[in-house]
Amino acid sequence: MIRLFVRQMLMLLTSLMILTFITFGITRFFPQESLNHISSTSSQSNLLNEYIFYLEQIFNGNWGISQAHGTEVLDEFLTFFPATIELSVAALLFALIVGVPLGIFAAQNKNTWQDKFIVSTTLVGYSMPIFWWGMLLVLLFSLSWGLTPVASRLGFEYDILPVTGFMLIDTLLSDQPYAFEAFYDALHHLILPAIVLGTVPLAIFTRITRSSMIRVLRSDYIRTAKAKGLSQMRIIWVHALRNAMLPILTIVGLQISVLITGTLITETIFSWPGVGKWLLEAVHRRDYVTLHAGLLAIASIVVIINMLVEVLSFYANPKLRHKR
Amino acid sequence: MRHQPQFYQQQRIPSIAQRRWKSFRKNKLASAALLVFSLIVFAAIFAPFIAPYDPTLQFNDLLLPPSWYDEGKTRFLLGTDEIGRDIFSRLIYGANLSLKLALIVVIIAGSIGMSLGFVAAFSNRVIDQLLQRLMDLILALPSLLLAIVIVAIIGPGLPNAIYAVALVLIPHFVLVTRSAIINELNKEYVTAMILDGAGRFRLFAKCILPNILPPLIVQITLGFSTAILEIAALGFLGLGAQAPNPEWGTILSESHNNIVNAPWTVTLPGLAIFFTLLSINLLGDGLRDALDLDK
Repeated sequence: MIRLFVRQMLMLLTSLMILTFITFGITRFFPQESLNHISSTSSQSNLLNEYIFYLEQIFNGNWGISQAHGTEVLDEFLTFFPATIELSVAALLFALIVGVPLGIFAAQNKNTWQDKFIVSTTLVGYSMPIFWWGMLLVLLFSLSWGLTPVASRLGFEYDILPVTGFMLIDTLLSDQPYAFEAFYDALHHLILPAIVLGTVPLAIFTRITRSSMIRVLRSDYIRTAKAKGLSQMRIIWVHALRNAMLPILTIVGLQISVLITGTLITETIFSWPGVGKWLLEAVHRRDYVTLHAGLLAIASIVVIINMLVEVLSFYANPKLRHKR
Repeated sequence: MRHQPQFYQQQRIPSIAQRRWKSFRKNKLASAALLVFSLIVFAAIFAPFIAPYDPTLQFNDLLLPPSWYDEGKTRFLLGTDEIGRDIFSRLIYGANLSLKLALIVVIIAGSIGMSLGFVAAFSNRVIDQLLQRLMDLILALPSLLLAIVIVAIIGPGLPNAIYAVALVLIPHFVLVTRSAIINELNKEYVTAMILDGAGRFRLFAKCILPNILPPLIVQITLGFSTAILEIAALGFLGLGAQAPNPEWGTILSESHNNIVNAPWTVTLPGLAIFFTLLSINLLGDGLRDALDLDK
């Protein structure tokens, strides 16, 4: 286990190293005056010295001042990031809570019309361009039926002090008399974007759960469980699910970057004040400091989460653990 | 052929291609997808002959609903947009543009990616590992974010969006090519060919290439649909094709503001993207099953 951990840490370090090569390379294409804080100014500098200076600045948290707001980009990133996490986690939960049972149901009724229907629906979800899907749902739920708000995270009538940056937590922490109403309002605002963002992962989770469950249900130990006379519910939820969930864990890790890609679009459609919207505004303003910071921060976070998921799946799966 | 008298008892053994085609035809969904996709390709190729008007021509009828509505006019089959351009013509020309761009992206990404995958599979471990790490990293990065940063560096616009999407697609081709080649290299018939004294080039061209084609074809299909989606996404975010261009994503972002009073300007271009992606994905699924015949 320790060897594994050390190996993973080394792989993480190499990945982060290559990442800084890439971002360092990218900064060399930016107009020079925009990145004075991270490019070394000494006259006899070579590439290596400049790279070391760049790394020093990054590690010291000196990521520069954004051109638009005149504040530290790192601080700005931290104010926008919780909104993105809130949205992504909600979408991920939606995809898991709906997708896994759907996949199990399809696997149980393999080759019936219900199964075929679910499988073709996942293909539809998989091919859905989410910018169009988002607009369609807004058209239907918000504009035609008036069920959900069109945009932003909270109604204007509520004044909530940002403490953690997570709206659902902040509204509950707030000591205003309308804290609970604000919480429901925030939840209301969250539903539609989370569904839009969670659609593609939902399709993927359903397919993976289905195929993984079918494979597990064919194995000998399930036959033994059936022979022992256990109920179908017990076989599925207690015995089969644990093993069937292992591939899903890997897929969740891979979905993180898909989710972040999706937030860029979802946040644009719903005017969600998160990192995606912040970065797109930076592109239109040619704010290179913000772009560089956003790329580096998001990429490192994705790489670290991927590593954590990998360690977790090693921990959860004895087969992988004892392979080497 | 069928009506020829059979003098000799002979058994026709279908070729591999015939067998694969037969197995593909058995998949009804994939066959339907092939038909739909062929129609889209046909419309794209003959866009100037099919589209009734020029995609940038402006008429006096603004935001006219599709012809099956009472207020619609039969002159404009799918209605007009906010500056009076015929939506049907724009969508047909958009098919032309989208498929053309996606084809260019797949050609760029495919040729670079497959060569890199080839290099990775045949080179020593250090280079292979380095390439692997780099590709894993690019795969872990959110694709659209990378594309956005690239576009920010070289500026928005169609050619730059193509480069960005192509770069994002390269790692998939590298990984698929590499693993397919390594998979084949471990098989015995390859060892036999090496023992027969086949050189590297001969080994690759005669022995490995025909056998790695199926996964590559599937990857090309999937890459095509990813390319269409990403180009449309960049267009929607205002970083790809610019305003008068009839690119599907750009059309959607223009009509975003009219979603309340003219919902058809949003639903129709989206349907075009959606059906194209769906048919390609179904086609890819069907191809994967059909090409997997021997396993």
